[in-house]
Amino acid sequence: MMRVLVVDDEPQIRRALSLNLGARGYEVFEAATGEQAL
Amino acid sequence: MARGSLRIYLGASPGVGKTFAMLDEGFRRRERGADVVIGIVETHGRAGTAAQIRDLEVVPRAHREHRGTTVQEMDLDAVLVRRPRVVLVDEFAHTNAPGSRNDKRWQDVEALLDAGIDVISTLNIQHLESLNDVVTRITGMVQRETVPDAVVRRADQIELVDMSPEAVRRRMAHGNIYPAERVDAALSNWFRPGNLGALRELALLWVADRVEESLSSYLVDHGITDAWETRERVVVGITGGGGGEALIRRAARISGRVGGELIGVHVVSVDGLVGTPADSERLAAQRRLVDELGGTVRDVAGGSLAEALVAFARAEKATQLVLGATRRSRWYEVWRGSLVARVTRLAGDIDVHVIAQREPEESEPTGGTRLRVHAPVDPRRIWWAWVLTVVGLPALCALGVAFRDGLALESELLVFLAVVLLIAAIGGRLVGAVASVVASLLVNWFFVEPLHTLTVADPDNLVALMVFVAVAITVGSLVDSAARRSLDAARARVEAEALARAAATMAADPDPMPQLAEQLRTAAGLDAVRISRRVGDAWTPIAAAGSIDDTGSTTPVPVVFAIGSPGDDSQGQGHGQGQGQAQNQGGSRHRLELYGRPLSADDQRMLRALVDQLAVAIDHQELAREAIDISALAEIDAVRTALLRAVSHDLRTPLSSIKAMVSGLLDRSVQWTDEQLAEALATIDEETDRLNRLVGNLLDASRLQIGALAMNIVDVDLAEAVAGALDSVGPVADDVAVELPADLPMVKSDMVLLERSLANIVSNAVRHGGRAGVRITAGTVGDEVRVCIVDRGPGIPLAQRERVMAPFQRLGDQQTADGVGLGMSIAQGFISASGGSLTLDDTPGGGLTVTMSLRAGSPAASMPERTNA
Repeated sequence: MMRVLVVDDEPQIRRALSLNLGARGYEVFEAATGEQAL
Repeated sequence: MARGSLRIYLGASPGVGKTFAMLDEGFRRRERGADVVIGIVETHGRAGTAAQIRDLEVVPRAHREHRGTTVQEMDLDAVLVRRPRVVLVDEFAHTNAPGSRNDKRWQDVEALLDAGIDVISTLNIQHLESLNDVVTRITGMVQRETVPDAVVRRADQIELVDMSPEAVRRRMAHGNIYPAERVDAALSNWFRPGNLGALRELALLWVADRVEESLSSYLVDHGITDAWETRERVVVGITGGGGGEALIRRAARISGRVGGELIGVHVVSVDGLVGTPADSERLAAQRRLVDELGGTVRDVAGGSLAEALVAFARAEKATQLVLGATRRSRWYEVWRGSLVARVTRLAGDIDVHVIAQREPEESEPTGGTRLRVHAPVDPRRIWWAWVLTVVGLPALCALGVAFRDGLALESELLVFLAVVLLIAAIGGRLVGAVASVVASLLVNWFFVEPLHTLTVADPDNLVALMVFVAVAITVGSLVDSAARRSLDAARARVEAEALARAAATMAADPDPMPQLAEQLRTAAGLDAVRISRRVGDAWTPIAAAGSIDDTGSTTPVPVVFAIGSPGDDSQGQGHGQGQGQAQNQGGSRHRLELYGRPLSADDQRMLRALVDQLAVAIDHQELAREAIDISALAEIDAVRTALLRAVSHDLRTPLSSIKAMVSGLLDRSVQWTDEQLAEALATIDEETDRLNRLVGNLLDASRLQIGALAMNIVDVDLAEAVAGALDSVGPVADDVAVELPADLPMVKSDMVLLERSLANIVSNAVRHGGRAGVRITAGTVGDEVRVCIVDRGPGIPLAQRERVMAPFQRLGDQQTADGVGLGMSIAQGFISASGGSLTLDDTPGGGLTVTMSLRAGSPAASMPERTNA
């Protein structure tokens, strides 16, 4: 399974993106800041 | 090796025909046998330009690779090797591609010039360094390719290629400048008529400056101080004498005819003896006249009128000097010397115009009139002097006759002289002269041999009599002029004091008008003074001093001065029949009305100085008012900007989130599980709510700001309002603890607004303080009900609490927030509009407590009332 990291400071946007990606069969990780992403 | 010469064709904008002009010049030089080549010509794809090159030799361009594209530049080395006599280099300001020998094309041109090759180039005005900011301001476009002015100034010839903006636009529209697809954009941007006009003016001015500069340096280089006729400068002497106006007009016509400049010069004599004392009233009028005719007035100090005039004219490089022909007697000219003759002798190559003046105007300000008008000696003293002459001299005579044998004639004369001097000292020149003549006749008749005749036998006696008369007249004149001086001094002191007081008042007082009016009234000894402002067609008083006596049958007619509009003299007459009222107030918005007595010329002079001060004060006030208006506008603007920024961010986030979900749902290739579907729909639902809330908040805020809030103040059950508020905040408020006492009275408020305010505060508390730990408590204090919303979040530092209440403020970088930071300020606005108040406090142990104080209502019947905020 492909893994995707979503980085955005707006929680709403993160949520929308992860839901969409999840529905398309990706495994989704989220991070709110660049630091967190690393 | 001699340096080559540089010729630059300067244009106001692209497309005026610089390249054409350059090519033309190239052909012209070739026809004269010069070796002419083209270094570079940018045709910009213009077929007309390309065709114009015809058979001129073109040095092949150098090709340079730059970021994957090939850039063509002038091949400097090839041109240097080719060594033509003249090279044409288009676009002086061009920046070379990286890797070229020089950064800028003008540096290439320098190299060519150093090699002794003549260069012909082209340049647009907007590329001049010194005009860079001006051009940016005019066109709104930043010019990156600039040439230092000094380089351009060093050019041997600069030729302006001028074309009217209309013609440039026409060429543009025909596609002669840019390819067709760029025409529309260009016509509405760079090639706007206003733009082109401004650039053209800039170019013309720059070239004109440069011409003047080279002329000055030529004059300096060649030691030329003689007048040099480029633009005619016409100097006219202003004396404040009669006929001066005609002279000035005449001079203005002379300068107008040759398109010259008019300069009025007033020579202030240094020793105070040359010329008659200037009639200052008239002098001021003549100064204004010069101004109105578009000229300037200068004051020059000098011992001799003629020399000062000519020296000034020479320093100003004047070409013409205009003088009035004085119709004075031959004797006067012998005594004082003829001004015209001396000026003509000194003028050298400056043309001197002598203008004939009409008699009546010339004779107007001479001695007799002046004496009568100004009467420097107190009238009472003159009266006493006459009494002394009529009574004292005959009495003295009688005494002399009685004691004739005891005194020699010389002693008699001395006694008479003493009395006549006394009379002259008291009454001035006229009385003194009359007294001396009368006394000499009396002495002659009664005391000089032969007695009782008017003949004089002894020559000694004749001399004695003549000396007698001369001394009496001299003393009289001295008294006269001394009196005149002290009068002048007194007047000057009064004026200076009035002005100083006015200045001090203006500096100290934010509204100096009433004070100034009072000072004016006392300074001029008037009954009343009023300062009025024009509102529409009527005049409204803004300050007044003294009382206006309108008890009589006729309303008093004021003397009226316009304030702050130059050249607009006093209009009314104190003795008039009402014709003086505001017939022609020019463009001035303020005027000064003086009630009491007719004003003398000197009063008017002083008043005009005060009126100038008034104008300054009024201007000052208006500017201050404007400054306040402007700062208020700036504040509104700042709020608007903050709002736009906040709204664009906060509206876009939920929108893009909704958009992403809906697009995903519409995509048929994606298989959504029920769980995912539910979450997606929930997200859309939440985000839509958020948007709705945001728009609602914005509407509320704008209603609060324009003060159009309709309220319905009734007795509200607080428990009901809190429940409604929690409901509207949504599921995040589920954990909020509500602790309301059962015996809480109703509160006087607007149900809807109260609910909204509570919702805003609660949602704020939940957002910052976390879901848990938010409590709502209430209690009664006196006739107030206090509701506290307590959270355990980070709290708000004391210094920032006020800021939280301002619209569109959010603390820190709270990216998790929804809403534009309007919540608290709206709650605050609503609560205070409905008669309550909102305060922020620390929660003991950390966090924020918002306390809402509301008026307690009767626990019984509700009385609806309707008010507007």
